[in-house]
Amino acid sequence: MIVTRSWLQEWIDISNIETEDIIKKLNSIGLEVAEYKKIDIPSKIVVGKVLECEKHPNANKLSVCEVDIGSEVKQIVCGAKNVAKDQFVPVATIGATMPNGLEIKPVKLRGIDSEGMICSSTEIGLPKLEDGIMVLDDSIGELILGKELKEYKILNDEIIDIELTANRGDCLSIYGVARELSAAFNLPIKTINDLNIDLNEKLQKGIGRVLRIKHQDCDANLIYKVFSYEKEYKNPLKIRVRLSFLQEDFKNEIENLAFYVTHSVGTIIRGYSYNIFKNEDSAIIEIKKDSNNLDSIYNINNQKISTIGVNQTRKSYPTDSEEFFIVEASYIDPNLLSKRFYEAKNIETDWVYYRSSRGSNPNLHMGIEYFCYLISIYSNMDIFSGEHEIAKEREKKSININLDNISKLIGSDISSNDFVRIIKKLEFEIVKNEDVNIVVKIPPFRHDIENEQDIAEEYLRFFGIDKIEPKPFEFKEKNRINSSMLNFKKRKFLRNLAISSGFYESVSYIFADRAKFKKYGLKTIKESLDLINPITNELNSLRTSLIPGLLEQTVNNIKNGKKRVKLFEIGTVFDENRDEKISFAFVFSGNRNEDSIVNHGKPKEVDFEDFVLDISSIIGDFELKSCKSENRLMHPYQSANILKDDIVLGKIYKLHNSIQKDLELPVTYICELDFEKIPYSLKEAKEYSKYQASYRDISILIDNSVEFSQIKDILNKNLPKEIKRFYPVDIYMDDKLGDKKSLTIRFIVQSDEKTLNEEEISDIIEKIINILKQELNAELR
Amino acid sequence: MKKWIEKIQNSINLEELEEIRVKIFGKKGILAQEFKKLKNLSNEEKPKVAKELNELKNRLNGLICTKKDELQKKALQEELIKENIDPSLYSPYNIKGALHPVQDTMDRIVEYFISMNFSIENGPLIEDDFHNFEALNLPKFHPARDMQDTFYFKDEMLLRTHTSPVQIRTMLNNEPPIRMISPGAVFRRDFDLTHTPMFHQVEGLLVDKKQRVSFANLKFILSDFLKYMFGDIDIRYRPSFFPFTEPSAEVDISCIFCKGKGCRVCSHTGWLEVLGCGMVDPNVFKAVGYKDVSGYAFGLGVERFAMLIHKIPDLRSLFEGDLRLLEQFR
Repeated sequence: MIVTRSWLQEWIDISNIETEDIIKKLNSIGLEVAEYKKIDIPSKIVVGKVLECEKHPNANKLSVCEVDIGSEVKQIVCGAKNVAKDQFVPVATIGATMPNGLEIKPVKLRGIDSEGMICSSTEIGLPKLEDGIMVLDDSIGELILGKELKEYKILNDEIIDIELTANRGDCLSIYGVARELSAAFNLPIKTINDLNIDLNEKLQKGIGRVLRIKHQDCDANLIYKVFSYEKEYKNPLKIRVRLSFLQEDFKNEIENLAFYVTHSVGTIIRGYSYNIFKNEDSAIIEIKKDSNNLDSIYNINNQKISTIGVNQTRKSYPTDSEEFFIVEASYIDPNLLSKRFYEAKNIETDWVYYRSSRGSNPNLHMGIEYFCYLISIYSNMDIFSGEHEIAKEREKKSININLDNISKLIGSDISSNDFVRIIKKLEFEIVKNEDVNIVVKIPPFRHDIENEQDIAEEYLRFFGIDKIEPKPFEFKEKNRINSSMLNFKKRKFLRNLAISSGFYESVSYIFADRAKFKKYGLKTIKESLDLINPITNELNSLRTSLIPGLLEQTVNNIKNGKKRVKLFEIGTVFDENRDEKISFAFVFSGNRNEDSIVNHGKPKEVDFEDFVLDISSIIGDFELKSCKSENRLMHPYQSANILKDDIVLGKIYKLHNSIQKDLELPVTYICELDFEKIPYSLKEAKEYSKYQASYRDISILIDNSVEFSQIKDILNKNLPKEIKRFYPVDIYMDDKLGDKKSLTIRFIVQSDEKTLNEEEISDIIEKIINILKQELNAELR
Repeated sequence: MKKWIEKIQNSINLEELEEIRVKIFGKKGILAQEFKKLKNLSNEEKPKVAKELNELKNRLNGLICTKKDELQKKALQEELIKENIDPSLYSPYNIKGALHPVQDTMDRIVEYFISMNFSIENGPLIEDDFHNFEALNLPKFHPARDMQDTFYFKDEMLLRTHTSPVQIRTMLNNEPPIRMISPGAVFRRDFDLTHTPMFHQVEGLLVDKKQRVSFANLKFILSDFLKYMFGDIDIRYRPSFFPFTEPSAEVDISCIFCKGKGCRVCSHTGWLEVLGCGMVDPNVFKAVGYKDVSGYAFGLGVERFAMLIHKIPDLRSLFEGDLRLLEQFR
């Protein structure tokens, strides 16, 4: 919502208040100022009058003008097509510096002296108004030859852009903002009556001769008025300049004027062609509900011309080829309009819908009178006397208020006098005022006020939130540790471990490219549960894994010249049924270390062991069991389940060579875990042996196909209790061994009761060798 | 004898010194030979020569010990020198990773409210219309519910547009008093320089029976919180509008870049908008069936906080996993 200082001044006398203070005040009462701009026309640009204007003898496109600038008459060469005798124009005189830095000097143009420049609106720092030079008129003030243009406040205006919240339709007009300022600064506001409108000499025969209205039950309030059209009517400079600040131009002078009135006083005003409703020697407007149950207006041929508060057909704008035009003022309850509009869906709207649906000014007479007033002072058009009005009675809402409630809500005592004073300024009517109980009637333009808390806000806006003394809240102690809190701690704990292992935390969108997930052989959410309105094709579904996102980021980092990328993410993923789950994923790509003195600048690429050690330093001990590759990202021979206490936490694998090649990545390892399944609980200490431990290595020959995890499972089934731990320490394969491999396993032997002697240790090892021989067909080497 | 003293003094390492020691003190060493000669001497001469020999023995022994000590020290020194390195060659680089600035900022925010005895509550990302809109006083036809802003699914579910539905869920599952925050990802259908389709919010809610909760309480906690996050700043409250609070306010802090003088970041206003808040609207309490309660609520954008605190210029860069950015938070 754009307001300007001179425009506000028409309704409230702010001449003694600095603009800076106005902006501060607007912010403090909840009308947030988003932007402020001042137009400053430079010095030495003055009002001039073109006395003579003739073609340049040596140039087709130039004119030579004699221009009266008050003190003298100057000869100025002008290139604009629209320059003409008797025009009042802005003249940049010798010595003026234009906003673009150009300095005006006497020049010769094609052999003719030119002492100054006749300016266009953009040349003096205003928005573009028309092609060619700017023609002045006295709507901006009395035109005095030689008077500097910087003295005209309507041109040198201050423009304030207010970011209105959705509830404040009442401030979608200059008058509405002026009303707020009047309450804030305690200044009187002008009413339409203060304009002393006298239309008598303009009034013509009665409207009944030229327009009839047919209507059924109608939810809107409407007024229609008819005017005679003046050929080539053009809105005065003041109106055109102000509309240019709003960046509005409907390319139709009546439509522009209607918009100007709407923006000035808040009443929705539209102009219509007369002929479109014409029926023989009169015109008929029919108002009825359309198929969406919205009040609409139709012509005699049952063509819909407009929908009240929503739109209007373009061809129904007034044109000066017609004798008359029709003007309509309308109001419709914004909640009703929004509801019906929502139910109807996909209706085209124009500028009116925004204002109507947020609540326009229900005072239709104010809009119509102001329109007539502008027509009477800026045109020679005639106004048909009388008007057609469809008035729906609207009862004012009243609300009961208890001042104690409001004091408690705000946390500060408020005085009844203060309260009543502020509320009244906002045109709320006090119906009853007894002690702390007050009954307030809500003005019709404040459809957003519904209850006591809304009224409290109105008071608070003008009282000032900054004046409330902060007070600590007193509460009963309560244990607030819940599963979310524990999850927060677990997350933080694991994330910190991940960064200690050199991983960088990443955050990526939960959106996914369905086609890409399919290409990788990953799950996708069911088609019937997918997004209706994705923002782009690459983000058209939800992710079922964090990996594609991390891989994409890895690819970009490698493209950016990184040789080593370690990323992790904890984030939500979805299953086919769109159920949410938290996933914890890692990618390690490229060199295992940064280039350094230790590796002579040639670090090795990451391998399975490096990656496993990294993951283990984050989530602790785990077991690996090889698994089948489930999708096209997984390497068929380097993929494993990560198990802890026989629960599969997730997968760890090398990125499949073909995908690695496609993505132009170095060697890449991947791990994705189910966050919920990672244990995070207090540890219990067990008793431990105080006797000496011995280490014994056993080397066996065994079938190539037997995995260590199988050996482990078999040993674990009948392991002597003195074996505290065993683990592989060497593996050897060569052609001589054929389809066998040599595996060395180290056993830690320790008793809880005594220090074992050599013989006892040998017995235990013998047992193990027997198990290996019998169960696995292993040979001792 | 002088010859031996010189030999000791000139020996250059422990091995040579040991050789000399053996030659002097060994069974066949010169001293042994000299002592053997004693028996050939007369009784008068014997004590005198013996005494001289003993003195010599002590003297040589002393010399050897001193020399040995000296050589040992020298050897240790040489060993140490050999182990000399240039530590500056080993300045570690890129060993530790870093937390993401958005997640880290969210942690800091959450930790403040934990310390103030708020509970953490989480809710689903996929929500229904009731929890995300209807119960929050955003009826279907409300202007703030533009179809363009919300991601919808084919089964009429949607991606939550704010963390506020967690307030509704928490109120429906608990009796007042409630004192909670809800951190998490939210989604709006908007993608340009200053908007990403996913971002993060932290929402706060306090509800108590009767009219115990006031705007003054809200101001107290938010002012304290903002000083914890941003340091010594001025705070300004501006009336505003949210469907789920009434009265509502937006909270500005004095610009942390120009100290309120006006700069590009604060659009020359001297103020930065950082959060929205207000007293819970009676319609919200009605929707969850609460009677005779009062409460306040507030919400903030985590990315906005992270960008201000860490001076990150581009919002979209936060979701690209770009190490050139992330490495800076190591």
